[in-house]
Amino acid sequence: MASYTAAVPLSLTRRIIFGRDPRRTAVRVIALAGVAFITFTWLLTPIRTQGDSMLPTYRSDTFNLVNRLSYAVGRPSRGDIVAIRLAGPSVVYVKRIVGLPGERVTFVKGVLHVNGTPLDEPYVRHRRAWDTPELTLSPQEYYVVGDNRGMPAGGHSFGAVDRGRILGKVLF
Amino acid sequence: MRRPTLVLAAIAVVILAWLSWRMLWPSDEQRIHRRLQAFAADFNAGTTEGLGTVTRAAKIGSYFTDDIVVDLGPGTPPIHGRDTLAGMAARLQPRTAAFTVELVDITPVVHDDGTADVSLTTAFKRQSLATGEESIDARELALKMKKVGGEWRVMRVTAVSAFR
Repeated sequence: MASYTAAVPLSLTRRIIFGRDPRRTAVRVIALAGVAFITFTWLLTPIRTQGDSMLPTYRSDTFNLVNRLSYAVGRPSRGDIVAIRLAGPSVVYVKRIVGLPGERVTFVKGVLHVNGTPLDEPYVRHRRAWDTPELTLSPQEYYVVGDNRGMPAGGHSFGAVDRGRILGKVLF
Repeated sequence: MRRPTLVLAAIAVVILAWLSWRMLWPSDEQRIHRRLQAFAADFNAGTTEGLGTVTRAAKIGSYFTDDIVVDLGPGTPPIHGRDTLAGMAARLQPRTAAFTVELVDITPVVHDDGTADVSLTTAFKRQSLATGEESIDARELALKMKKVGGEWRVMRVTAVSAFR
């Protein structure tokens, strides 16, 4: 009697963990792990933002995904928020594209000018009087900057980046 | 044994043999990778004891050549020499116990002349002792390494900027 009552929860546990057909369950788990590995390594890179340079759009310590295929066909465009790789994809900068190849970009008293015309940036809340020399972008370069212009320019990483450093578009 | 089981067992044996081979006879790329990870581990192993600090400085120094040059770019004067660098690294840790370094995306290219070019990202993590808040300062570095006495040592460190 005792052995009978003990056998019931054991088989239930086994069935919950391994399923009705353990071999089929194993195949499903391996397939799922494979799909997750491919997706999160080459297609959608998970990132956790750190720092205040993208405020108010992104706060520090928020989770997001980078679509690595977003520019497989099309080109990056103005306003896109992109991930920029350093030596590899493990640590990235998250910035907004504000200047396109061939354009001239400069900050005058905190206002971004592209080809001599001030750019309307509704996503910027606070501005400091940043001043930068005019930069002409090469055919392979994009100008990127964070949305938080309320911080000193010296504490903010921004400028022209090579197209090859753009990992993909930030999804959300 | 049934045929699928035999095939799976054969695949497992091949994978195990390959992993063992890599572990026992690592390539120069793997040696560089391990060496840099060992450096990060030694750097992060902080100590506040007097003798421990000296030992740690010597250990950190063993990762560099005598004539190492560290060039962190405009605004920072280059650091010359192993003793200067090891002393700076050893002094840094005890004051900032919540300061750690991680080396990621290490990509070595080994040359025939016994040198290697390595690109990597360093992530300096600081945790505020008061608030527990973590901040990361990431930098891309280009290293020139040289094999001295069978060990890979760093002979030049140059900061690489993602932005122009």
